[in-house]
Amino acid sequence: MINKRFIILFIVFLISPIAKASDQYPDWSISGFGSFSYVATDTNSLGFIRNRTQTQAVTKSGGVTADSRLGIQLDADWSDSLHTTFQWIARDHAGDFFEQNLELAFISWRPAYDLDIRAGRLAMDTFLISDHRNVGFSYPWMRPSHDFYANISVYHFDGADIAKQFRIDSGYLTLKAFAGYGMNDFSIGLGVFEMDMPTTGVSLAYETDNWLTRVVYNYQRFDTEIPNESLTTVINSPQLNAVMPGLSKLSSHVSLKDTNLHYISLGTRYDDAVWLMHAEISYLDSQTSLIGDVLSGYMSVGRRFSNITLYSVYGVAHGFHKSVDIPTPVVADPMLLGVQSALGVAVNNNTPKQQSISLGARWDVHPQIALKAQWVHYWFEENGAAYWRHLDDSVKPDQVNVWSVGMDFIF
Amino acid sequence: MKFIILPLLLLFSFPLSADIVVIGHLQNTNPMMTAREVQDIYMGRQRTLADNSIAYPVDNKNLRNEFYTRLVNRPIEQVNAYWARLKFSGQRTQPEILLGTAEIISKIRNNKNAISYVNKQDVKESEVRILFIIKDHDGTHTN
Repeated sequence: MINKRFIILFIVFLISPIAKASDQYPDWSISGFGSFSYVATDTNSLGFIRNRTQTQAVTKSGGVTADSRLGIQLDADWSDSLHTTFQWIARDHAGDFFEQNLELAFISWRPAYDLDIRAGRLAMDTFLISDHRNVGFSYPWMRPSHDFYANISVYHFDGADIAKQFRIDSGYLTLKAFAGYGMNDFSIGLGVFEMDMPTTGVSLAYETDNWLTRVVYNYQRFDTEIPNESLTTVINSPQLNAVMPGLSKLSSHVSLKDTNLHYISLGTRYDDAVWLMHAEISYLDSQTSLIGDVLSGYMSVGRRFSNITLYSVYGVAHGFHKSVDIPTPVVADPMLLGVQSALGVAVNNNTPKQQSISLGARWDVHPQIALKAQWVHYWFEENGAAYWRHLDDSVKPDQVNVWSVGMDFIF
Repeated sequence: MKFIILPLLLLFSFPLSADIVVIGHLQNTNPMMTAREVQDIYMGRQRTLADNSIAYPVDNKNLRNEFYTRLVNRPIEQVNAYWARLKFSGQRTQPEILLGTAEIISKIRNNKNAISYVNKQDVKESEVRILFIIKDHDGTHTN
């Protein structure tokens, strides 16, 4: 219901400037971007996903869903100060195919040359790459660092932001505040999680010819609960509590509703046309063991040789969630041991402890087309593959390779 | 035969480039632009001309590669990647791309805040105002 209301609101927003159109306006443009790629790994125990919005996981047999997408954008200037943008992306995303893939639908108003106010559906730009991570052509890698961005599953929110720009020396300082309500669907082991959450935050960015540095604080709160009925039924079962004493105490460990998230991040990018460097670090403070506190970061260095870019990336994600003890059955019944094992996976496999190193190349074969190839090697600590789909927990690989080839383009 | 080959060799032994001029409306009364201003407007960092009126930058499809190479010392695929980030994140509107000098001159004459760029020899100073000159080859900016 809320989703429909917001969509109607967007449409009203988007058609409202028509009445004010002059001869010079509206000025329309249609453009787009896309990526087609093939990804394969060397394990069938863990499924590779770009983030938790994806429904299909990639294994040894390979797949095209992880990085492939096609986006189309409609821009319209209605006056010198009024602009609207629509962007829709065809991609693997849990939930409603149209609504969840509507990435941008906003009206922007510039009451002054250095002031921007936007309202509608906006991209989440908490991190350096998060608001354009779908646009593979805009960055050198196959995808932004998995160690860092796999945990950033929120693509968009419905609300408003206001940005004020200041000229300082040869650069520009932008102070931005944003607030709204995110409605994003995730595919998790228990089903589709329709995550509704208020969000707000503030960012400060300084940009010069070659540098961009941003620091961001972002607050989110879970208004909805994960589909945990199957878990709570087991945890609160009197019969099971009789043979697994203390089982009901796990209730707080399988719930997200009414818990808060606080992100703080610092990122910087350097690009002098030959060398390029990206680095980000983030700390996530959460109140639930389903997510845990997470420190993550990455550093990427690349060198261009004419129209070929070679790069490497090191990334790390380290969760601080302490393993929760799952009550041991008073009798060693195979069924009860199975329940204990399954609850252990549900409660204790959510804390990332992974590192990776990537080597890759981007070849700009055309001003609007780039071919890419990338190899990533991941290391996991025990139960650390939290950003992966667990397909067979009888085998827990501590290292995985992921190979990718693909093409990015804009039009 | 050699009378035909020799002129052809001479013709292709020199790069076929010339000064590029950034142009604006005749009623654009702003002072001559600096390289920094042109860079900031065409890279989406600044939206206004010196008088704080909104600039309407227009790209010339025929000269786009040469223009950005000289202006910001980046090949066009890097400029496209840069703009893909700004445009598809909804942060900025990319300059409109027009094909041909006549279309650009017409755009400039019909929009007081429009700026674009053409080869210097294609400009009649009775039609548009020259705001900035990017010299041939050496990348020197003149204003």
